[in-house]
Amino acid sequence: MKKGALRSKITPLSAVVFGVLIVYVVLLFVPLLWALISSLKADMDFRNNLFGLPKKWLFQNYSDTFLGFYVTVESGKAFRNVFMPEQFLYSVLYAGGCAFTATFVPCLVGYLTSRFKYKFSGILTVVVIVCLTLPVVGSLPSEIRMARFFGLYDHIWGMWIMKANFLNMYLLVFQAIFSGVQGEFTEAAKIDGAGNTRIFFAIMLPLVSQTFLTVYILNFIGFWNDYQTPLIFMPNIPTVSYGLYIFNRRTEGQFSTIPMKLTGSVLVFLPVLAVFCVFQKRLVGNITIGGLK
Amino acid sequence: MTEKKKDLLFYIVAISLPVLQFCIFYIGVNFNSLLLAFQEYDVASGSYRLCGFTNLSNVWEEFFNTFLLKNGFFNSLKVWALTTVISLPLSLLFSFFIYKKFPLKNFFKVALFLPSVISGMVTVVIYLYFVERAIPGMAEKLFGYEMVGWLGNVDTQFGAVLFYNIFYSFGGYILLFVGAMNSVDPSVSEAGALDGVSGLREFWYIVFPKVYPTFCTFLVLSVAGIFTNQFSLYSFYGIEASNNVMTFGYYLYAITSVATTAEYPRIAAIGVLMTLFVIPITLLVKYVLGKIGPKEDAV
Repeated sequence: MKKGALRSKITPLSAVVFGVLIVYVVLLFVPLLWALISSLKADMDFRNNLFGLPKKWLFQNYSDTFLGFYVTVESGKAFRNVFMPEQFLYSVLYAGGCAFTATFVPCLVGYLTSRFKYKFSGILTVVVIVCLTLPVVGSLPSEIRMARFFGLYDHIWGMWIMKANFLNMYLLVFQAIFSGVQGEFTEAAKIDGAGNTRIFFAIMLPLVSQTFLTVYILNFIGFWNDYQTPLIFMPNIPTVSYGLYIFNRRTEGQFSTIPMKLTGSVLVFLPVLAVFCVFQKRLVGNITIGGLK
Repeated sequence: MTEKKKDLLFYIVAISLPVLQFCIFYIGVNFNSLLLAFQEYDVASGSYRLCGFTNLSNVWEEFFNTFLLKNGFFNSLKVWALTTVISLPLSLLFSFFIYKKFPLKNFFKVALFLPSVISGMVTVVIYLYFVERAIPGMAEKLFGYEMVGWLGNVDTQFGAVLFYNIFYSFGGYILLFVGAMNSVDPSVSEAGALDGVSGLREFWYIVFPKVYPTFCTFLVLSVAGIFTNQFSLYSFYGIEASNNVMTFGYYLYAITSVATTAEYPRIAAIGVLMTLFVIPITLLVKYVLGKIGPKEDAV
């Protein structure tokens, strides 16, 4: 079928939805644009001129914020300030590593439970669905104790381990994909002498690489934006989102003004926007999940 | 070694580490949380000791006698009900619009998904100052009256937080709904169009049955998350949110973030009580959703 063959006729309902979407987009972008413009104003200019263009375009706000965007952490018996470049490094390590373990483990377990029809595979799938459905409230203190007990607390690699779980919807996504892969692939590889490890890494993983990458990017964005886990579990390894939380709670000094806080937000937002612009086609509409039967 | 034994060995080796992780960080954490609810901290020895049902009965009493927990409970239910009732149907409608390839569908797809890639902290900061400064400033300029910012005003802050949560909620839903809708066989839609099936009928009889499992998953998971969802309150207010807007998820995170080891058992006890309350509701919702719902071949 030709691309766009399903394009539909405009009906009254679709016209209303179109109108609602236009309003939504305006309401979404106007504050973003306002924040961007306000981030380039001096504080007095912002107070006297809420909506106009800056009287003087203060790009210096960005360099000042870059230099003043720090978190004070404990370092041995003393304290030190962690600045933005170091926070970015921690963000890359935290988000990159956690996204990898949080994608690879569901992928591996999805492969094992869908291709190896042992009883345990069925039990594990049921356990995952039950655990996903069963809400557990208030386990954070216990999680902190456990992280301390195993020496994972305040370590980035500790977070990689803690996030390496298959208890999420992506397990079901991978299970569905691996179930759809025809058995001939693995049988042919086995005849050629390939072992199970090689079959997984050289045949099955490349087959699901598109989904793997999509899930990885979604996880990466989620971990990049997550400030609450680092705030609780890595108090002395501030990521850039954690830094933004601290930056926005400042009430004194040059960086307590609204334009500076908006500048900080734009600075943190830009890398994610870049990732999104590059991968947006891959992200939207490429993943499906089934039910929780 | 036979092929079957090789398979089994590979399976055991490959699955053991993920299962161990699950045993420690799900079963272990939750068992420990349950245990904490029955313990108290002994400052002298610096360790926990069993105290029976003291924590649970204290929290139970607290729940009926203090405004804080009661309010957190009802706020959680209110915010969940309103966000779900508004966000889910609107997301379905928007996804259908995108699926049907109406004008600007790609632009809308990206725009609707964009908020879910922006850090919650960033959107909160922008929304906060827009609502607190820009809108009152605009009202003063246009209508000449002084307006208090919605998030700072006790009477309006709940609505303002609610609006934020709904407004930025569509991305995740759209992502998976559009994915599910794309699995509809184009020839079925085309046949429907040739038979003069209206958009609404097509949605109900052809598209919605495909999306229904995803829809149910979202609904069940949202019910399961009623008392853990913070509704972005920590990003807005840090640990200083007022009782008017406080939800259980927020309350538990906020007190844990500043709690000492001695306070953990009370938090765990609150969690246990809330878990006991929400488990049957979640299972009931899952059961009902499994019984009802559209059939795929009813067109």
